[in-house]
Amino acid sequence: MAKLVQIGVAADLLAQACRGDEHAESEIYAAVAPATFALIRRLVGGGPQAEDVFQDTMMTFYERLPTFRAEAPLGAWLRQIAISKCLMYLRSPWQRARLQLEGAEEAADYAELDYRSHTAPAAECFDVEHALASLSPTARAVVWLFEVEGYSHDEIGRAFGRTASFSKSQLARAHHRLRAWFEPAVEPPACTSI
Amino acid sequence: MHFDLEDSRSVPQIVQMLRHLPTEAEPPIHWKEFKRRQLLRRARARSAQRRQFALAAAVGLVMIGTIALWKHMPPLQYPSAQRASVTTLPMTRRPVVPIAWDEAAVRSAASERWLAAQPAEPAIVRVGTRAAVMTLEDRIAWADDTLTSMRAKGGEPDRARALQYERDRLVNSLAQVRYAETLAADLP
Repeated sequence: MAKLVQIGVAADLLAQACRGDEHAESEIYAAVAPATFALIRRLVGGGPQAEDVFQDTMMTFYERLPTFRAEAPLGAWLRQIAISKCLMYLRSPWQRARLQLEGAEEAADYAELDYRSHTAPAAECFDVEHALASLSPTARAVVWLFEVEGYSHDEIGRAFGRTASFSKSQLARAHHRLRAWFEPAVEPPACTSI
Repeated sequence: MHFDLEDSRSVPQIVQMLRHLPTEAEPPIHWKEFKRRQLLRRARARSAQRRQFALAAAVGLVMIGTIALWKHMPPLQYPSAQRASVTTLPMTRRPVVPIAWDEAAVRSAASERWLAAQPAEPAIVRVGTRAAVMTLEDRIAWADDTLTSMRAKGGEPDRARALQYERDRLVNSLAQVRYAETLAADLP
């Protein structure tokens, strides 16, 4: 499985797609769509919103394709578009309002998470997908961009329209939460009658 | 809130697991569906753009029409004469009102007759209304005095007509106030 940033396409195929050849466009779609959708799903979560962002991303990709200068792999260029679309979605007023509304629920989830980490056997919790999904969309995006995509705190802060401290703080909280998810349960010592 | 990440040995392991997650996922739509939705969205965007243009054009037309209508309308002299104060408006510049002159005078005479038929003191006297009545009566008296002296001196017919018009208006206002007083007096 290739990472999106590593995906490249042949120059002649790219030239045909730039001229509007639908067959070439479909071949490029087949090459880049799976990795693009995987990235979008990691950043905005699953569901219809991921589909919407994916559609937006691919439409922008084909609209801007004639401006691609091949200074980097096509996948790296597409990754920029996809991340930009995901962050636009996460920063949108509607999405932020939704996140604020879900803030209380998130705190309740967190308490539940701690409870689970101390009672369930560690082997049952080894599901990194679920751990990632338990984070808030913003924290999940920060973790993914920093740890997997290799963005710096400055870049993440700029992308969110915030400072590097925002990125560091989000990452620290996310690490704490992920650690709580994965750490083995610590059984309290049993009470013994004297 | 501070978290000491150095103390945690599990974070690098978690990061490793994250990096080994699948980097590809089955796209939600195939190429044909993507193209169909692309065309649909473009059509919607074009339609929305056309609607915006149509709306802007309609607003522009309405504005142009309103301005044209306003420019071709005759000046409304009666309302401005109504708004103006006798003491502040220069009488020499007051426009002559050619319409409804006799009608206003007739109405004024009728109002005067009706006022004369009213009792000198209403059953219920409210201070605010009384003050308004007194002000109106004072202004009418002032208008009468000015008109008498103007007629005695002669000349300035336009000013005299305007003042007469203002007097009629004041009499009508007084009649309205007194009528309101009568109605209020009838209330339980």
